[in-house]
Amino acid sequence: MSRVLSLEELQASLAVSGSGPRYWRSLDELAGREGFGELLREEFPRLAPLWEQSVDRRGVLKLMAAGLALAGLGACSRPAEEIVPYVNIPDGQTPGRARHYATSLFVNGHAHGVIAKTLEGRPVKLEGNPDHPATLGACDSWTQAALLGLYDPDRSRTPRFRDQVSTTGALLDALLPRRKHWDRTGGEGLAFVLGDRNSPSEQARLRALRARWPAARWFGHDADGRRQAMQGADQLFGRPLQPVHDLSDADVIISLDADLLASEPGFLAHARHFAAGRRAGAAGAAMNRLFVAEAAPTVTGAAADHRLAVAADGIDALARSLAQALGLEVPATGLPASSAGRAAGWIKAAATDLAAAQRPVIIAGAQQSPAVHALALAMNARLGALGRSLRLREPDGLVTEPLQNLNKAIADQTVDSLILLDANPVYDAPGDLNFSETFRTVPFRLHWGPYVDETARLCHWHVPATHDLESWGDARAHDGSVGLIQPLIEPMYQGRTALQMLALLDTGQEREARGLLSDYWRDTAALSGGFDAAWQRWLTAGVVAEARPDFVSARPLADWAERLPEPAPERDGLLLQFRLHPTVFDGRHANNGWLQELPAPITKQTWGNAVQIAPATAARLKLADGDVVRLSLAERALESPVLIVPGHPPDALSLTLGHGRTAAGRVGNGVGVNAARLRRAAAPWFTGAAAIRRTGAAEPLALTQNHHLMEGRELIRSADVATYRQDPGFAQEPPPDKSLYPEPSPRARSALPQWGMSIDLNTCIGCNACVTACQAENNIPVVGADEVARGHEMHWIRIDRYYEGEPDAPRMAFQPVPCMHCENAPCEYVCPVEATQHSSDGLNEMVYNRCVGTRYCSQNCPYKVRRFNWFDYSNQAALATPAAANNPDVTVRSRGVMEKCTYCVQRIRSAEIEADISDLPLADGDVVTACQQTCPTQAIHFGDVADPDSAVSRAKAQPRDYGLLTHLNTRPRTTYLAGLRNPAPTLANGDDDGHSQDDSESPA
Amino acid sequence: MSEREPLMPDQLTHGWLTQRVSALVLERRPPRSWRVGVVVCALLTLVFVIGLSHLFATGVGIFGLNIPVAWGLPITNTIWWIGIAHAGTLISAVLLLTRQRWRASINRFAEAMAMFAIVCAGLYPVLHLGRPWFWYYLLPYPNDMGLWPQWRSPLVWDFFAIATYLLFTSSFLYLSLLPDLASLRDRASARATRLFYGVLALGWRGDALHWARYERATKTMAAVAAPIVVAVTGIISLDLAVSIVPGFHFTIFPPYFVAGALLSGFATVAILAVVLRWMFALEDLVTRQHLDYLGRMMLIFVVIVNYAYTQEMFAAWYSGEVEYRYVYLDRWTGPYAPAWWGMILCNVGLTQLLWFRRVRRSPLAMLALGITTNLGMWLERFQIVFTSTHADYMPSNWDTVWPTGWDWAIYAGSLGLFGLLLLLFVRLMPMISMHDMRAQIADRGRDG
Repeated sequence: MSRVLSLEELQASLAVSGSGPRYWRSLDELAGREGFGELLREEFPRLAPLWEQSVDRRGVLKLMAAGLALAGLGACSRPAEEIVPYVNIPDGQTPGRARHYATSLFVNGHAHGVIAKTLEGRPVKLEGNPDHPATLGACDSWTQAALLGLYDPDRSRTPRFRDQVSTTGALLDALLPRRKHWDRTGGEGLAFVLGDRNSPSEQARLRALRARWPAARWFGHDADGRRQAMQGADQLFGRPLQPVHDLSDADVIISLDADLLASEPGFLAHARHFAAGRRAGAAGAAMNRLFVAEAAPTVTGAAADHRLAVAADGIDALARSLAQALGLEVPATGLPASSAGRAAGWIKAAATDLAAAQRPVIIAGAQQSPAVHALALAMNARLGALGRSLRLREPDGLVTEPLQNLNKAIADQTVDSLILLDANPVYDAPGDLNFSETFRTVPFRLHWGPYVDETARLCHWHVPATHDLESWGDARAHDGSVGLIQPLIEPMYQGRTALQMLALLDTGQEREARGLLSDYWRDTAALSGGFDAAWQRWLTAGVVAEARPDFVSARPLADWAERLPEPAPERDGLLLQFRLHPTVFDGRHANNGWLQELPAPITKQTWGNAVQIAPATAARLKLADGDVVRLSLAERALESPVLIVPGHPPDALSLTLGHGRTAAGRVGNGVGVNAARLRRAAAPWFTGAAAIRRTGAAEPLALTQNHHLMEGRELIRSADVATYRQDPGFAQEPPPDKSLYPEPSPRARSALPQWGMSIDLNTCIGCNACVTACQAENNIPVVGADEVARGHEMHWIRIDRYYEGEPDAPRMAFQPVPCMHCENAPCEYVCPVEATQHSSDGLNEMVYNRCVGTRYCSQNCPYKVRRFNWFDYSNQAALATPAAANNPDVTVRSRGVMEKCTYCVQRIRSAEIEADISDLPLADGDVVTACQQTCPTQAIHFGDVADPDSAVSRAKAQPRDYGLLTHLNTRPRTTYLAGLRNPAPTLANGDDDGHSQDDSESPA
Repeated sequence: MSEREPLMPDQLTHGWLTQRVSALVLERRPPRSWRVGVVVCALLTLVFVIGLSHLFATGVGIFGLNIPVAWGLPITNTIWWIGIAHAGTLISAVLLLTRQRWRASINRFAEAMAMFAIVCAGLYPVLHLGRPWFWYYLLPYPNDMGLWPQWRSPLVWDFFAIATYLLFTSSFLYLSLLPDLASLRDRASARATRLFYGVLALGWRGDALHWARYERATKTMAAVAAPIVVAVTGIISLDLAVSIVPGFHFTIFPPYFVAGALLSGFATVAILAVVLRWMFALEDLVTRQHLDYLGRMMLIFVVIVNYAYTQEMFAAWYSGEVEYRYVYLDRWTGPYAPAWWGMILCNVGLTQLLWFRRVRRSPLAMLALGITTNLGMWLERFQIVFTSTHADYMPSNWDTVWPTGWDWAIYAGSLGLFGLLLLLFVRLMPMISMHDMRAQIADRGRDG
């Protein structure tokens, strides 16, 4: 390709330089420069010939006439889409009053249906769509944080060519000869790399492209390993199928290294259904029981009644043993020696429970091998779970080849054009592929994605993707149901939706985004009524009711067990496990400050990753938290600090993916290390023979919790179900000594309603969704790694995590701690300027503009829920939340003031105003706090505690209700419902984890 | 107390004393050590100004503070400076009322010390505010919000206590300066100097009526001073004791803090006595006997403070609260244990040397003990402020925080400011109360 003159060069050549002005005679002089022709062709492809041809007299006259005619056209507006000037406020639109729209977002490749709140055409908050099967009205941190992603100033803004701003017109021109060539050869030499977007309309487009260019090759980067589930199904049933788990009413749930409550597809629905089983137990019915075997602690393991720490390569043996215990004939292997004792008890208890269960389900983790998936599916089939708690679907989308094939194809020079759609293999391809080197040798590389990321920088062409909140599209959830994506805002930059991009490749023309989507659905959906009515219905509901998933039935092959691969030989040495990061996932969320600063649920680490290691192994290797180690595998190595994680299996190291980005943006660059550098394409999730060596250096870790034991203080109270049945009030304590003074109580206060909160520790799984929801709702600033390490984090609600029991098999417990809104608030009487006071409806209020920042309130708060603006966090250069993302109903706090949970007072007041206008009293449930609304397990109740019939009063009336540190006579308005565990009777005598003393009932 | 040495040379006459003391001010060239001291202190004051500029420009995050330890070195230093400020008033007021004659030669610089220490103590609470430019919200001034300060908050009491103390100390100091200013006015040769001291002397002529009113005023103020001494530190201690923080919430705090304040105050007077008598060759006026008396005063408060230590531990144990007991165990073994043990070494261990007369009479030993005791008292306040909140009720919040470079810079700067003000004072004002000394000479005549 010949040299292209850039606009910068042009400007530079005109700029004054050296010793005085340099005169230029005419623009022709510039036009004579080398590369000008190329620039012209790229910038104005249709006009270039005019420049290059000589113009004759007749031509001049024609152009003048045309110019005269076109001058009149300048008065015409763009006809494409209607833009209504805002001076005429649309019907039903009131400034300051929010409008809500149902849409969907891709969360790690799957659809999460949301209700988006917009103010004056600006999305400010996302909530779960109750009608969407993947969210059921709840939300997760990723979805909440997508809002910040929309306003991310680092998003790609324009098409780029060779790292220079370009246009789609130029791209179309560049594609024209190539598309002709592909049409001729059937796509010979063309390859696509697809990200994990599960969208029916996009898949239809892709299938059309495949039909058009049959010789093209299709590759997929399996970010979270979900391909292995289908391979497992292939081994068992003889054809690849996608399992869809349904935990509703499940009484025995077995997880084989599946983080089913916090990251497996459908996790929000799983968490809701799991919590329903816990809640049933608390209400007196049978309680479900969760067995988890996992290779690194997750919230799922923490929620388990029986958690077993097994290195990732031991899960296979465990699955085989469990299958045998259930009567399946599979080739046996011994259990891994390190955990054999515990594992045997775990398997026995699980098998006993499964045999008696009404509705059991066994779930294998996405990162586990196909064999484990096959075994899990076979056990489900054996237990009769197929078609009930486990259903099967045909795979969505195109069958793609793994990335290593692409690497080989490039090396063999059979690929000369590469089109990457929402994929970033240069960053996340396994290190042994040396992908970025091979990648550079492809002659034509085109990237479509939201950021100019590592891959985009190495591509010739880049087209920015629109954010889901500014796109038209559709997205399929884990269970196959489909929701529409509708834009809440005009695309801020020159992004193209996926459908536009595919149409551009297919037709060589720019198409309008909505038309592409509606055309697809008009053609696809078989509707009895008219299309327009259905379209409106889908947009309103957020779900395409007509696109019900088709489940298929399958039966295991007769010889599946023989076809299981030989179990891996017992390893010696350390196992290196690659785990998805609980907040930045595979790195796609790395530039999101809310997610970077969100503490990982178990380790409480923010801003980066660390080599996770069991306490015993750390003691053997003489490692302490923060020690930097050199981790090497074959000839590749990286350095990372160590973090000791109780409950981690011994002789294994876990390192999370998703950090160490170099082109994520100003937030994500240079945070942590890129674990992908050590990965092997053949064994992407765990691999033996890792070597670890201390470097002698140490690095502070940005942890939000530094002490992990409760020190015998009864902060989190829990009991086995059996104990609870005998003594429902086990969490109660004697009331504090009676005061000589009259004590305030909610009922005695004059105003109504009296607000209060109840948090159910029986259903809280510690997933962090409330933390991000609170951050989004309340404009909580991001402070950065250094500040978190100094203890300056700002989250208004935090999830405390405590360990209990032995370090190698601890029990983990979570406790969300917002402000307690104490009746006798210790913070209030010490403030010298009355900046924090009690409202008549029982809120402990913070008056920002009165606060001078003595911080006495925080000193005197026994719960330490107050947060201080040590610096001007809301205006920090790199990390400040863009103003547009802020909730206009909440003050952005200045430097030097204290802040804390307000019980979402802005929601309370707006509900009161609404009630006042409509002349109706506030009903229970009219005020929903952000944490409550988002909670996947509905563990939070909020409402009027003076009304005995409100949901929160009913929750507080339960015998499990207790308050934190009530001996201080603070009389907190936020109280907790004690947690319950349901250990299996066979393990109840402490041979697995030593916690359960009492016999407990069998499930169901 | 065997034979008592004279507190002043036998040959001391009124004229000679006045000549001697006023020459320190009116003589042209101050000693070299003074000039070095001023340069060093001025440089440190510059550090203070730079530190404050950075602080006001960026925020209190530059200090080693966080949640849970939201009060750190600024509050430690406030209490420390307040403590130092106390001995000055005690020496001037209580010793005056109890007719302790030995106070005559040390009360002037002790009062000056009190005054400048209270300036430093008063600066810290303002500069530790998140929004120091709104410090006046603590004042009960009429405003359109109709808001007054919150009278239940000890910080408001604190504000008034420090303000009262500053007002009181400065008036007391100025009052006792009046006769001496008049002496200087009369002795000054240059017109400008005469004018300067003349204006300040407010027309003092040594009239009998003047003296009678002066005596009545000082006695009355001294009578008021005694409760103020107890109240100010008592109120500062209530900042801590009124809270519900384990390690803060002890009813013994007010007397404990008063005793601690006086201990550090007398230790600082001892340091200044040794330094100034060396710097200005005043060994005959500030004698070893004075140091002996100062040592004895220190010893009294050492005993009280040591008793308070035991009672604090006892109270923590006797409360039966796990949090209080944990705070104590943590003080002994936790990350801040060196501060606790350092305090014990300085305030319990080394101070026992004061039982020995030879130690009390040795300027070097008193200087060393003055410094270690002040260090010990600083460590005491450090460990109270830091250990109490760093591990209080919720273990999930426990965190350890250390002072930053800015903390230390501003602390060093405040020491420099204190030193600078004091050195300028002794250069501009008579550092020994001439009229008190004359009274002593007169008394000697009467006794002998």
